Amino acid sequence: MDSVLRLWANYGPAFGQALLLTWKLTAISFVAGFALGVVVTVARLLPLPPLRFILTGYVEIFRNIPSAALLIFIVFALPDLNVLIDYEPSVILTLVLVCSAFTADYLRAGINTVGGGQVEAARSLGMRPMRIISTVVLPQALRAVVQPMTSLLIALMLSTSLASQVPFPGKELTTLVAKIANDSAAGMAAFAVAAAMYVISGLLIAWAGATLEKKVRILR
Amino acid sequence: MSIQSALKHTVLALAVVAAGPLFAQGTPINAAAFDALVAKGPVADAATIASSTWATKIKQAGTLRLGGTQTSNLFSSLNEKDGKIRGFDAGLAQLITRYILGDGTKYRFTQVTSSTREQVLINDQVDVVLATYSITPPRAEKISFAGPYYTSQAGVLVKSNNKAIQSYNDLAGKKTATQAGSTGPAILAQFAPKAVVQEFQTHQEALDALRQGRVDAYVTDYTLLLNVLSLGTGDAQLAGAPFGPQDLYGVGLPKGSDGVAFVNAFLKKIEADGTWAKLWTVSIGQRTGSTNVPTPPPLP
Repeated sequence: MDSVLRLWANYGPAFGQALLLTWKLTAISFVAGFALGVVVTVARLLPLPPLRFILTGYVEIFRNIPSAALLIFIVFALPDLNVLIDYEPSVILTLVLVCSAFTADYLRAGINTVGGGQVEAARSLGMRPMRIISTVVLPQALRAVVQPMTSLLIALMLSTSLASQVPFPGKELTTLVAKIANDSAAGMAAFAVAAAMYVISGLLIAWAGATLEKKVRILR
Repeated sequence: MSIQSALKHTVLALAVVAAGPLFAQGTPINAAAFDALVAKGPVADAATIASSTWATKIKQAGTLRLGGTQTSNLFSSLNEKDGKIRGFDAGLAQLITRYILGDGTKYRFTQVTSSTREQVLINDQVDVVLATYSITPPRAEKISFAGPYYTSQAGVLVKSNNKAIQSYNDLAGKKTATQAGSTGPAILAQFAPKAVVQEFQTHQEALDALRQGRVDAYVTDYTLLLNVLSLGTGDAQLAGAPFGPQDLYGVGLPKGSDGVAFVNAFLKKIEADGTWAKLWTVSIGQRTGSTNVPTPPPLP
């Protein structure tokens, strides 16, 4: 415990900055990933079989690939195909791709909670497909997936540790731990502090998710 | 992490295959010569073992618990075909195993990283760590080092068409790769404070970054760079002579262990009988195209 306190005295500000960077990465990736996931979900509802087939492939690929492998591929394999993306965008792109695939998958489950009768009723009122999706289906689907999306956001927050695998500008929590371990041989204390910060961040997200869920719950 | 690193290497292998043989992994080690050398190593007599509680414990257990790495090109790299680790560090570990137990294969391997090296010794999860482990004061507070058994300096690698960088003095404002968890970042902070440092997880990734033009230079162990040049692909060159402080590698042992004296006596023995020089030749010399066997650093 005293080693943790000593570490905090030396590296407190650095840990604060690392936590902020972790949050920043999480927020950017989640907003972009969620938006992309919604677009993919809606596009999959359109009556265009080839598009549906392609997007199903997209979701299945990025849902089933370890994000570490995806990142290494983007950073080290793509340049050989003449696609050179800088480290920061590479990390964010990895997180966005994975987040969008999971979002699309959860939203599809959310859409399945909306009764088919409602869509038929909207059609008989003469509503167009996009209107039905945007005013009848999506609002209900989104409410139904607050819980899984909360879990996804926590997983995404933990996945920002991917940044430690490439020369990312700035240090998020995991990179900072590796650096402290190497410089001052205080590996375990640094791990403990970072783990506590991850746990607290996760609990905050869970609390926010639960609050939102209470607000928007559809009473059946 | 092991699954992750396995995947990483699969993907990297794909990337390297796609890229062709530029900067590919170095000359493979002569496994037969390496194994023969270890099998001929000295064996301690009962009195020498009995004089050390550290060695006695290993003798009684019947296996030496080794903390090491699998991906350190010249020092300890895993051959997937036969599941054995070979290299300079791996050879020393197997020679110590043979010295205590009479059989160089009786070690149990645990992979360590630069974040876990001290902790596995503190927790008594391994008896000894051999992992290009630079002796530094903060580390020496937590564990004890035997040795040093090897010394190195840093070197600068650039693409062969790079005329702008002639030595570490020209790194200001240049993107410079180094390995995370090595002494590279600290050396660069001291000798090229204006360099834009990028830390990579592995030697191969840093090389890829140089090849792909992500970085202008790569600073790491000079010997490792000689290894790259030994491939003769002609796409890279050294910029200037080795520089920086002498980086001394030590054998990590539990804090205050009497294994320090035991391992130092063992190191003196193999340095005197030529085993150290032969191990250097097989692990490093033959693979980097250098025939000048260095003098081992002085032991305490």
